[in-house]
Amino acid sequence: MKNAIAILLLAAACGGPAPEPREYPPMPDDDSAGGERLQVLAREALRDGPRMLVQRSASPVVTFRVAFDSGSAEDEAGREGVTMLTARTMAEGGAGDLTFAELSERLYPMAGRIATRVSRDQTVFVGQVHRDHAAAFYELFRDVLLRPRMEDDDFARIRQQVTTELAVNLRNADDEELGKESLQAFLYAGHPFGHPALGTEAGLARVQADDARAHRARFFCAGRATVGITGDFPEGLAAQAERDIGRLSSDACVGRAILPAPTAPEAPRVLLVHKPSAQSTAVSMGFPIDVTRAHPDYAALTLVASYLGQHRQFVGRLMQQIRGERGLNYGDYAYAEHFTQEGWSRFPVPNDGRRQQYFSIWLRPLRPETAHFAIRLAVRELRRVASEGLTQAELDHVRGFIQQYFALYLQTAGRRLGFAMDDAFYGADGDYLERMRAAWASLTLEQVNAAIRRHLRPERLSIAVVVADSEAFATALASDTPSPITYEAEVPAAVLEEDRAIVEYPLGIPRDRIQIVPLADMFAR
Amino acid sequence: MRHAMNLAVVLALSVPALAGAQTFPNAPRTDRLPNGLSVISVRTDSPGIIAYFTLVRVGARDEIEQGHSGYAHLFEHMMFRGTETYPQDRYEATIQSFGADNNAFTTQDMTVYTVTAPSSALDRVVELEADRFQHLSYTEAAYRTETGAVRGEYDMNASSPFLRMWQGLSEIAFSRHTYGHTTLGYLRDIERMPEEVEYSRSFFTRFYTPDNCTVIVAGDVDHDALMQVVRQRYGAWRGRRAQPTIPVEPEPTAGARQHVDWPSEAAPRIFLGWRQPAFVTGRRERDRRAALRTSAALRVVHGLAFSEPSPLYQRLVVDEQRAIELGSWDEDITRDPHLFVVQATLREGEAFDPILADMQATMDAFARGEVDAARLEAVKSHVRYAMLSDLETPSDVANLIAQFVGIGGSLDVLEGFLEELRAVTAEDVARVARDYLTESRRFVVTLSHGSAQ
Repeated sequence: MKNAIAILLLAAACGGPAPEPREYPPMPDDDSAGGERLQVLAREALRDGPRMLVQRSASPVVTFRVAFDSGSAEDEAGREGVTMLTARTMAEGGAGDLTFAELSERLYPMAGRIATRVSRDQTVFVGQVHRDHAAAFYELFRDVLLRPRMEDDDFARIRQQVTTELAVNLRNADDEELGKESLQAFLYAGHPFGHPALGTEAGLARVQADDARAHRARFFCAGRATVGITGDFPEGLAAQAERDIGRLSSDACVGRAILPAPTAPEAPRVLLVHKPSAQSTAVSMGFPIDVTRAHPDYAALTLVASYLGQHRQFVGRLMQQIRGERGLNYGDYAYAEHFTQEGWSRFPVPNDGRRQQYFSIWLRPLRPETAHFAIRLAVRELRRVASEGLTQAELDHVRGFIQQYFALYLQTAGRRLGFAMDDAFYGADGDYLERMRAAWASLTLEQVNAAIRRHLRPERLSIAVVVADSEAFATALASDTPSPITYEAEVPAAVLEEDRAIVEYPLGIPRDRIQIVPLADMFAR
Repeated sequence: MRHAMNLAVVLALSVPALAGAQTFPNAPRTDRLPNGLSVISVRTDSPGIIAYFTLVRVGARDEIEQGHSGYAHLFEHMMFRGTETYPQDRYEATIQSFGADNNAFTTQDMTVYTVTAPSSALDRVVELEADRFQHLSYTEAAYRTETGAVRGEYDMNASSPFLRMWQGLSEIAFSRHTYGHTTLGYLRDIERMPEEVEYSRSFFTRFYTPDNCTVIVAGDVDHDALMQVVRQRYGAWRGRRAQPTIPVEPEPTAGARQHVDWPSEAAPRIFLGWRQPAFVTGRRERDRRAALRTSAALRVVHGLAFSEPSPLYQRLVVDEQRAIELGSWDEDITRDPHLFVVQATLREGEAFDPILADMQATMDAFARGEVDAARLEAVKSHVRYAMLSDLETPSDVANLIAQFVGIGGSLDVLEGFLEELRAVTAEDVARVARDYLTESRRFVVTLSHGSAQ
């Protein structure tokens, strides 16, 4: 009883129903940004209100997820990073009647967490708390979404943090992420997906607090929102959340921009990010595909990606060949869609949806003397699969694995909710796991290999490499110079035999299709 | 004043709820085989899924021989190289056939092997795990190849300033104890690993023994059925753990400091560690409880001083914006005396010394007894609820158990720690600040690009 009274007291202290969202200044004209203008994009119609997904469960952890169909792809030209700054200033600043310090103090004893993640096409706000505090926590979470203070000081702090994350940490402290972001910049040059969700250095410098306020009013609207709640939450809370988020509406709200198709290269090409201090060589490669989770070929491509390199598992060919047999690095993976690992798990984050996807291969850092060889091996393997497809035995093996393994993607109530929201984003019907299992079970070898022929396009491959000696590497690549390999260990004769073919395997990428970019220029503008 | 009122309201809500809260949804069950293998299981609401962890109490701490750092971690890799019955390919194919996720991690004090699998595969998981822990078998060629993957893992981490700073802090804080090297080991030792196949085999014999292992199963598991298959598969395992003499690190009388000049652009960073005691020591219950009270008080200091609502965080990060990030390793617990670690990233151009002085001044104030009572209760509530909220999956549950059993030797220390946490007073906080969080026990590594600031 004492608990219930306390909940009422706290709710009262928070002010009950949220007041109307604050009006924000209009977005400045795009021309004022001074950046490189992207083409003016047509827009979709805005939905009438939020989608709502309620998944009550016995979990003592109550999870709220509010995903907006608005990501860094809608950063205004010249203000790249404005979506990130907007979302972070909302989630990491004051809200409602509370300063950031006061909000932190309220959340802390209940160990409540409010976080946001911005990706290319979506921004999600996630709130998590123990059920003992669900009602009190929701009042705070709601204010972050409906009544963010977005004060100048909070904005300045967040901008400093994001700028450091981009210009210092991404460029200089994490070559793996640098390689992956460089690949996306390469694949999507001139496209709204072309800059990192963090923005660009010039864009972050230009964005002002008023820009972020206006951006919020324009893009974080009910008609772009999907609201999810799961766990053992109090009666009435889901309906309240739907009502509250439904009020996120103003004349400024606009529908999603319709994305242009990415420009596909006519032949393989390479981007070398010149980083003199790099001690090892990071490699990512890929090509855009027109398959998302709603596409009939999605199930087949997930099988193919798993066969080539399920994230952080030994089931994949690349992992077996590069790490297992040769010990060249820590891991080698393939993906049928953009993949962001959730925390320390091996599973993808939910609410990271994209209307346009790419197929990719990621080789974790290699010693410089083995990088050329490993790239050859990976490209050769990709080309082999693209031309020959899988065998029945290979299909049966990877299907047996994936049928079970993907259940681990959905271990928590919060993740099940996130995946259901993703299905709504993609317009895919039915439970994700059931749908995928049914599709995998029914796929014939001919269907899988037909999907491979339709979508695996190694001739359109873009390869991004973070490397210290970029000129020498470019020369070696362009001339298809043999890349002999030596091992610490005695390796099986079959591996050595295969090596003989790999060492001289022609990538066929002339020098004029190899671009060298200084590190400082990456994500500069 | 409004702060205090809000906090009081929240505490009125939280404290009664804590009194009856259980850490796990069902009571853990424990067993021990005659050969010394311990087994712990917890049933959780995870239909069809189990987490099967094998905790081995061996870590970088046990690497006492010169030139052989990194072997506990190397073994984390070697354990996937198979046995005569299940060579690596067959082991992987079998694990893959039921879609399990298998992995491992190594810390200074333990190595933990993790399998998350359908509960219907429990018998097969027990068979596979029991086999590889008793009958690991690898060729020199396989060993040498795997050392390449270990080197790859080192390379993967080397682009981050974190590894270099952590190496530096460990080295200046420990002149004798094996905590002086990181879990990955020195690069020079990693480079020599390919030549050390016989040493690697002796490492396995010395530490991979039943009395040094605990099987932890969480999720959709029946303890009695589990024990039946565990007895069958592990019963014949023999061996006694080696007892290396871990060098004792003398109590520090003066701190130390090191600066790292990072070769590319970097935000100024601080890694600070105050020497703190082991998480739990002593044989008598009274002594163990006293040690746990100290550890609980130190945990409270993390929250009081370095959490987001703390005055220091709010001043340095939010108000003055001299620091971009500030945080501490509040969940880090160790078998032997180690470090109370604080990390900060500073704004470009900001000097290190004033920030370090602010951190020390915060500890000095605690030592003088300046501890806000409401904030103290808020931290205690936070620790408990954070722990409860982090137990969503069977793996989460198994991981928490592994941490406490690996460090404390038994699951009792978890509940003991939580009981002592509830009892922590302002005087406890003052005492640990006076005893451990002083300038003479403080080790600091700073990093920047160019000259030291």
